[in-house]
Amino acid sequence: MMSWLTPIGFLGLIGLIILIIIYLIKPNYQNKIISSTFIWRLSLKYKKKKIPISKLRNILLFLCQVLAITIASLILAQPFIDNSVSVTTEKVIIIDASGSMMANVGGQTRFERAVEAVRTEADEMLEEGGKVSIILASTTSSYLVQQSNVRGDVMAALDELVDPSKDSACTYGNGDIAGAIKLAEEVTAIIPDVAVVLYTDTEYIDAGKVTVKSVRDISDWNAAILNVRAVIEENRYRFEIDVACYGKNADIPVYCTVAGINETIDDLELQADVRCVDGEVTTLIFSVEEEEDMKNLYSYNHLYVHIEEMDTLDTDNSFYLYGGEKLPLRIQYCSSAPNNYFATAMMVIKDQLRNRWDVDFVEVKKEEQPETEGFDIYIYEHTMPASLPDDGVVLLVNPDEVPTGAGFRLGSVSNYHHNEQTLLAGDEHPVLRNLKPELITVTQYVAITSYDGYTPVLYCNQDPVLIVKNEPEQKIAVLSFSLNYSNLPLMLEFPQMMYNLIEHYIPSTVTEYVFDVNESIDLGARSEELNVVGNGVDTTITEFPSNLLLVKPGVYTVSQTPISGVDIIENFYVKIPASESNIQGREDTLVNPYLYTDPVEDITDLILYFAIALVVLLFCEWWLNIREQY
Amino acid sequence: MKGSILNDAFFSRLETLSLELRANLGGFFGGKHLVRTYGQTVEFADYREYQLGDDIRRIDWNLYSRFEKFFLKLFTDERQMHTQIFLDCSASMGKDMPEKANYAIGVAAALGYLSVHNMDKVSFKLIKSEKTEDNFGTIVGKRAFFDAISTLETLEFDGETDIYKAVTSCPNMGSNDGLTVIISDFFTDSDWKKAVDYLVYKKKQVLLVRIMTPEELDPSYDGRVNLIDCEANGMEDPRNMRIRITRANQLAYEQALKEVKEDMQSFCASREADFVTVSTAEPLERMLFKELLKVGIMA
Repeated sequence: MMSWLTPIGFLGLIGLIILIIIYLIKPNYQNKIISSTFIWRLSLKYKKKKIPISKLRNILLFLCQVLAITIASLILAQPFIDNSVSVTTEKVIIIDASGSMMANVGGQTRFERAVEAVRTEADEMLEEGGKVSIILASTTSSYLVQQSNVRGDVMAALDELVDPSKDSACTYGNGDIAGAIKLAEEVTAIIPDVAVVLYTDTEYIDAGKVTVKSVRDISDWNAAILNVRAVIEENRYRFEIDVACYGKNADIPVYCTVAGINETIDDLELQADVRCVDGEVTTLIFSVEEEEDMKNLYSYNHLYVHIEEMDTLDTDNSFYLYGGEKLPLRIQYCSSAPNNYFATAMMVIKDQLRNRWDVDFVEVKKEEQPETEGFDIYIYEHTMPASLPDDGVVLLVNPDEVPTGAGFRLGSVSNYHHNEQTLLAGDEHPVLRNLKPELITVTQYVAITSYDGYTPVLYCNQDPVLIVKNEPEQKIAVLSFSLNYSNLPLMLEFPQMMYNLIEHYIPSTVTEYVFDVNESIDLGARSEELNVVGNGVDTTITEFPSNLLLVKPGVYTVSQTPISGVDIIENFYVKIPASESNIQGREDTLVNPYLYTDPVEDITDLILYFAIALVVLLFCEWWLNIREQY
Repeated sequence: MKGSILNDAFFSRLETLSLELRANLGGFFGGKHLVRTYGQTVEFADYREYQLGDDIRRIDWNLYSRFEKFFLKLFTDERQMHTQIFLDCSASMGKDMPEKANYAIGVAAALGYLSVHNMDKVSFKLIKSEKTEDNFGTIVGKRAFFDAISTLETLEFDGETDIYKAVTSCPNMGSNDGLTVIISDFFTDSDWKKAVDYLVYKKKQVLLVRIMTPEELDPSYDGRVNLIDCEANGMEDPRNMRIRITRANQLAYEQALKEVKEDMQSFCASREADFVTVSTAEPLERMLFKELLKVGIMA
């Protein structure tokens, strides 16, 4: 059966009316005054006799013109014959379960509205004897039911989505729409003409063949705190708060509590109104210039920002920012022949770690006795202590003897005064990260002959010269050559090596304090165990580095007890993605499921045949026109 | 007219030419045209023996001393000719086509000027209906010529003409006295050939100048048209034609036009008359210096 892709092309048939009008108003004979008809009268005897079919020719000419216009209109309408055989009515329904679908109006979320609508649509489809596939586009996409015609199964799956006794099936992050479309291809591969319906709150300018059904409510609006940043400028804090409003313009009062200022229990309250334009992000800034109280703010425990609007999505109405207090990192340096190498390296490291550690480098003077507790890192050079401290990391450099309980033995001194030796790396080790051992040379070292429990990291002439031990009770590193007999302290490798040692023994638990939902966090620890608590998570991690997927927004607390015995508690905050705060989201295109069958095989395009007919008709018309001249 | 086509520069160029008329014409005494008869000019022509009654002052005594016979020295004769220009004043010559009328007047004026410049007499005969009007008489001298030309410029072309009756009924035609020119488009049913025969009978040198517009030579109109003859009397006149002009009609028109031209050429050749067909698209100067030189009427 012939069909038309663009039936509006039949408007071209108006040309027939125009043609008829042209024939009607065509002037019959026009008066032409000439000097004389003498020659014309003479010419009549030379004129060939008219063939009586001239009238027929005129009719044929008119018919050709009519047919040409008609065929041109048919071509515009794009005729085709649909050869495909309709199988059964079947639908793939995708439910967007992204964070913005939790926008709540009148006690019902968008997601719940979507589920209700899907229930109705699926019911109708099943009553008609069709099949239904339902895909939930949450963090990952999955089939709830696939090509099912059993009403009970379909309804049970939908009921489970909105079961109040269970956690919401909606994620707080982005929905995997692309994954759901890909998943739908499992059905479209079998039945290419299956209808794909997407229930979402995102508007698509070009949805292609997917039917997009919006579950937005006209009264939906959302005020959101998208991000908070603490910026230090000239030793002063400046807080930048990104606020946005979607669905309407509004004046949003923003409240900011700076808790635990300057390592006290005091709080600082800040407040400002933000004029938000629909769909635009406005950055609110609290700085010393505007807030006099911030003049004496040097550190804070956390920042709590919130708004008190009765909008439709409340998961983005508050925000916690941690990281305002840096943990102390105390380093003691004790040497019988002090040098500036460590102090210089520490200056570099201190700058690199300024956002994470408050590095305190203490050099023991000659007449003083070194402390044996209270430091995170102890560095002993040449002269070794009688016994090792047990509350921190110990770095022994060019030891003249082995401290009690250190667990290694020293051999003889090897001298290469006129033939400097290059170091070689052992197995891959974090201490060697970004180091080039082949550039490091020594002219004298002490061979370490026994190092039970240690890991050799650097070798010289197959003798270990740098060994490390990272046990819960003992964290020791031994460098068995004097810095005075090596080019190491003169190279960038030295501060890099010190940095690697700190990272290896005292890793940062968290390196960032704000994450998006569905992001992973890399956790390090200075103890054997790390407890993570918050938002339904209560877990103890014993293997490091560890990776934790954050699926719910809120504050998470990380606690540990390091070798020093002093508990360390840190927090970080997980927020919903800014894209989910935008409950009026709009996308350009929606990727459609791939059609596995060639549509050309199902459709016979008739344009070519019509075009050939048109060309033939035009040729006939031209020929008749030419003949009419004689 | 004088300001546009027949200006001073044009006349200056015309002055370099002259009408080359046949030598067997009689003409009048005076003038510049050499004729076959012997006369009193200084140009030697021939000798002949003395006959009784000859003027003894013309005996060549040098020859007598050699042959002891009397011989007379003969000299050529120069005559004044009479150029008669018949101008067809029918509507087809310019009622609705002023360029055709202007062109015809221009040809008449140019030929007339050549005559008066060569000391000949000129008379413009305006063919109207079945008669000729001689409004200017016989013109001798340039002043009278220019007076006549300025009057010609106001000439109106209307009605239909009969060339034969007009020419044959023209008084004072004279005989064997010069050139007679008929300027017309010859779109007429009258037997103009008899007019030519009449002029030949009168021993005139005859020149027919046929003037046509480009539209007449190659009609640009086609389709369904009512061809209205400008000489017709109303729409019902049988000369009007209702015709659907197709390519075939146009070809037939071309053929008819060619036939008419060839007929005129063969007739004129048989009567030793000169015939020229010109298009108004062709510049007047070019017509004079090319077409008339080609037929040998100018030198």
